[in-house]
Amino acid sequence: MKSSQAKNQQPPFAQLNSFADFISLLTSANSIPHIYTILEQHLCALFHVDTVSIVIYDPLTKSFEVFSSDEGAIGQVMSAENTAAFQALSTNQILHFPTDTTLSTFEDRRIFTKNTPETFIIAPLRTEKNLFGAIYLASSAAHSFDDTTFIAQITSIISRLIEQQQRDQRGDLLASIVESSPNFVGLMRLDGQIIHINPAGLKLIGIGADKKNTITSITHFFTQEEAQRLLYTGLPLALESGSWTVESQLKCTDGAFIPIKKTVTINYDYHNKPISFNLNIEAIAAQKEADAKLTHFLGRLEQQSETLRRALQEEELLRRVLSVTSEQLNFRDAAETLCQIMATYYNVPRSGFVLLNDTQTAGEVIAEYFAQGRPSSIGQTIPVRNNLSMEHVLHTKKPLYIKNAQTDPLMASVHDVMKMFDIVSILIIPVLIDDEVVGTLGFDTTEFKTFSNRQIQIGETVAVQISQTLQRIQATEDLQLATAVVENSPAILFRWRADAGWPVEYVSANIAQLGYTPTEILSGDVLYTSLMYKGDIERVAAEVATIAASGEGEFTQEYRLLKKSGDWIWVDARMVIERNENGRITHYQGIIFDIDERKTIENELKQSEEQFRTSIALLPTPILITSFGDNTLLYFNNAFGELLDIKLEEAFNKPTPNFYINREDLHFVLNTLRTEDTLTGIEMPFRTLTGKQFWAEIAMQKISYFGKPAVLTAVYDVTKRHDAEQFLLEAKEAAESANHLKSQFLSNMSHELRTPLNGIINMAGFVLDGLLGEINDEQAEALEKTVDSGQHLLSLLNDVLDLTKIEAGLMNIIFEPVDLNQMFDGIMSTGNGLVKGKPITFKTEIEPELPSLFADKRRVRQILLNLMSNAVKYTQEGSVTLRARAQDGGIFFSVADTGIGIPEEDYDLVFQEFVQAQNNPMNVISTGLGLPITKQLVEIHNGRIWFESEVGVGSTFFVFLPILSPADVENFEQQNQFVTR
Amino acid sequence: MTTNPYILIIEDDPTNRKVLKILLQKKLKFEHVEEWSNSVNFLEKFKEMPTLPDLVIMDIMLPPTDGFGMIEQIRQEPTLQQMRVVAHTASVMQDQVLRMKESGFDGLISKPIMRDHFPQLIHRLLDGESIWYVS
Repeated sequence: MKSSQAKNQQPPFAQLNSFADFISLLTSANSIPHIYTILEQHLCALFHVDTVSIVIYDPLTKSFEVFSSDEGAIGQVMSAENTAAFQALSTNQILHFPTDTTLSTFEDRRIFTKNTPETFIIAPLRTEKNLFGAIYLASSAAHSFDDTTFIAQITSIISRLIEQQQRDQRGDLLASIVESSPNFVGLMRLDGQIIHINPAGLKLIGIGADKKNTITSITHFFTQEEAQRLLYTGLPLALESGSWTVESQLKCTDGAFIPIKKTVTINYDYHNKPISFNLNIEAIAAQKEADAKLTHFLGRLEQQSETLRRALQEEELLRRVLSVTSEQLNFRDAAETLCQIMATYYNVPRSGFVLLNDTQTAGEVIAEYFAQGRPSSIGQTIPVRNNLSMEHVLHTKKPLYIKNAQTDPLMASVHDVMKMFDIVSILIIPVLIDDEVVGTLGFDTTEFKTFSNRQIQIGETVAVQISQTLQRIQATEDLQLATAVVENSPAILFRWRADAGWPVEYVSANIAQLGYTPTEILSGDVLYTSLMYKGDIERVAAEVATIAASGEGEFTQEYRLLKKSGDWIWVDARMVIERNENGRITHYQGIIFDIDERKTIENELKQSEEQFRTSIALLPTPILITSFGDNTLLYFNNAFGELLDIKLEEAFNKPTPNFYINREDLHFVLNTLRTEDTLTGIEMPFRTLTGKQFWAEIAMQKISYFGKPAVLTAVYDVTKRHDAEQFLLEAKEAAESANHLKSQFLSNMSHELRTPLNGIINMAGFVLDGLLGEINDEQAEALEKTVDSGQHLLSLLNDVLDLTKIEAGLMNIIFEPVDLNQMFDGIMSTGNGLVKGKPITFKTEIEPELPSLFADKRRVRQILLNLMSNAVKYTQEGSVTLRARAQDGGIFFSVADTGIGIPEEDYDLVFQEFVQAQNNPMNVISTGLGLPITKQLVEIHNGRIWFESEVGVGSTFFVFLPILSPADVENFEQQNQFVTR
Repeated sequence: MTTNPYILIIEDDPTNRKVLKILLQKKLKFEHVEEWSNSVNFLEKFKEMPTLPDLVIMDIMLPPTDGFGMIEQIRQEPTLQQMRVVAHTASVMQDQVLRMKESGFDGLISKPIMRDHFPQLIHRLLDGESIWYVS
């Protein structure tokens, strides 16, 4: 019932000045809402108050609906309990505020959505039987509401008018219900005379509406016996208990009887005196039929609902299992609850959970449930060995149902126990993790019981749940352990907001290491940066900015942090950057370690490292230090930086750049260092960072660089040396090539000249010798000249070749021990041959047992023969004397002649090539190369040659050959560019 | 040494061949002097010989197989290993002589031949001496 509807129905009223007009208006109201509307509109004027509020009581719900009051409260429903209105209503008293009490403690203060009026009264609307509502009359403080009697009278009248309306409405309602009811409804006098029967009743009896006046008594449709029973048994029972119901039969007009159910209720007058009874008759034939159908239907429904119920039960079961398994952190507690739930579900008196050990050799009862007392077996060990049922479950990994545990062979070992505890049927459900049985859920009964497949399936589902719980709890325990580890670890967990000063949002309890409590740090009073060392803040901030800008998510820093004690410690902070979806950094999260001790050691190391570096920084040798293994560049000195065009600040702590041009060189170095500690004298091409190439000689040494295995590499730029060597090598190759050509040329020339000489000398010689016939003297002389010319040409050729070979370094000198005593035997015979046919005596003065020379035997012989040959050539008569003696670490040879001698002015020319004595009275045929060659040969042996001469007396040539050792030969051969081997 | 040794001359140059022939036949009066002007089928020819020469005087620059090639094959042939073979050449530079020694020649008769010394040289070579005299 809404007040707004009522308002709309309300016609406008003329001014009401009198109470009579008001009552008249009320009585004209045609409905209860109409009455309330009139009250709302006229009570203000009638009682001289400012506002009127009306609440209507609903006895069924024991609540008030606000019919009229401040805007916003209208239509609200409030429980009558703890309202001032109900207090007024139930006591039938007008309550006076604020004189009597204050509204603020009552629920109905809510009807005043604006200001609660300062002074008002609550008047109840009720009669003796009915409670309708209450009226709040509010006014200024001046209004005293002293005439409450008048108000009470008015409200009493209003109440009665409302009751009248209500009664009228109810009467109309009842009549219409009776008339339209499909059942027989009749009103009878207590003696059985009919007052009224509704249309449905008349129809049931079989009398038309037009003939309803023809029936006057219940005996018309009841048998006499039935009517008597109603009047003398039924009515007293109805009077006693309010109503009487009985099944009987109805006698229809056509004489047929139909089964009915009749109900009798008594009507009373105002004095509570029974005046009539209501007769309510239902035809129950159709109903009986329907009942049968219903019974059948209900049966089916029952079955369906059983299914439904079971499903619901299962769902409920699983829900409970889930809730237990997801909430319980302690597995034993969870298992115990599950045992109870499952025992209830299976309706068995006992259940238990056995947790197997890792090796599956035994289990422990860790949870159980009993419907009634039995000694607890918690903690009891269940052996698996020889426990056939357990072994069976472990093997099959499936539930095992045993109907009779006292006889089943699988329970053979425990038949006695089963009997002792009166256990009959057993169900064991395995709990699996990773397809391995980790425990069993067991149920036993004291009487035979079967389990449906469905029930066992449910059990398996629960087992899966237990398995997951076990794993989850294990994980949780791991997590707790991890948390404990974190809390006990030296790593302090932090979460900072990326705001100024890094406010800390989380810090682990082990911040206590630094003397703080988490609360202190989290309070926001202390900014994190205020704990940081001033000198570090700028660097740390710059590093964070760099890393943040680079887009990386993680970084590590070291800085100093203030302990509560006031001491500074070095910490290592490993942080993760957290960004929101816009990429803006919101938090840093990470751990910090106290690395003070390490830092101290590091600082000490650093100092000694500095010292070390300073000591090698300025060394002129380029030096590089790399870590052995990962090849990280640790250090290099200035010289190295300059040589390789590299800057330490850019290269430090990064992989060492590859300076090797050839990959094989790098591999060679790495392979060598794998097995060797040092590597020296290796020359290889290098490339600087800017691409400049140079030849490097490197020396490497494995060292320990401040505790780390490292490699020290010294690099020398040997490009110049290498180039020089290369140049020399090339020059040598060129020279060798040229020499080879020269040698080839000489060889060819020699061959080409000697071959025709063979013909010339010999053919002429044969004729000369008379082998080919007689010749005259003139012919002989000509042929002799031919042969001599050929011989001279051959000598010239040999000398030129010798000289050329010496000068070209092509002369092969073969140093070997030379036994002079043996050599002189041959020389003497040659000497005798030279002087043969001449008036010259060849003499020798050889010291006996001369030491051996280390020389080229052939060349020594050539030296002596040349001198002897020369001496013979320039001596007409006399003697040629060969002398030899050991002296001053060598051998003195001399060849003295009694020849023409050398004029002093020619001394300088003696050893010159192609120079012959101007004074040649003997017309000596000579190449002029003999002495120069001899001199060269002497010098090859590190010896000296000189002469003494007097014109007309003779000349003496002296040769000194030192006694050399093989080592000496090595030495001077290297110095003597003419000598090659 | 037999009084009438069997000498084989292998020399492509007719003049040089003639010089040797005169020396051997007219000066030394050797009757059994054979001449080859080249090295064609030399191995077969040696093998077909009823008796091997007492001395082979061999030029080095020979067609088609030169003296070094011939001596190498001769020294590898068991039946010819012991045959005395001397080089006869104008290539008498030291390294060339060394090479001849290493190749298996038993000696050297250098060009030009010193005819006065030749008889002595031949006799010594026939006696089994190894002589490397360069004129």
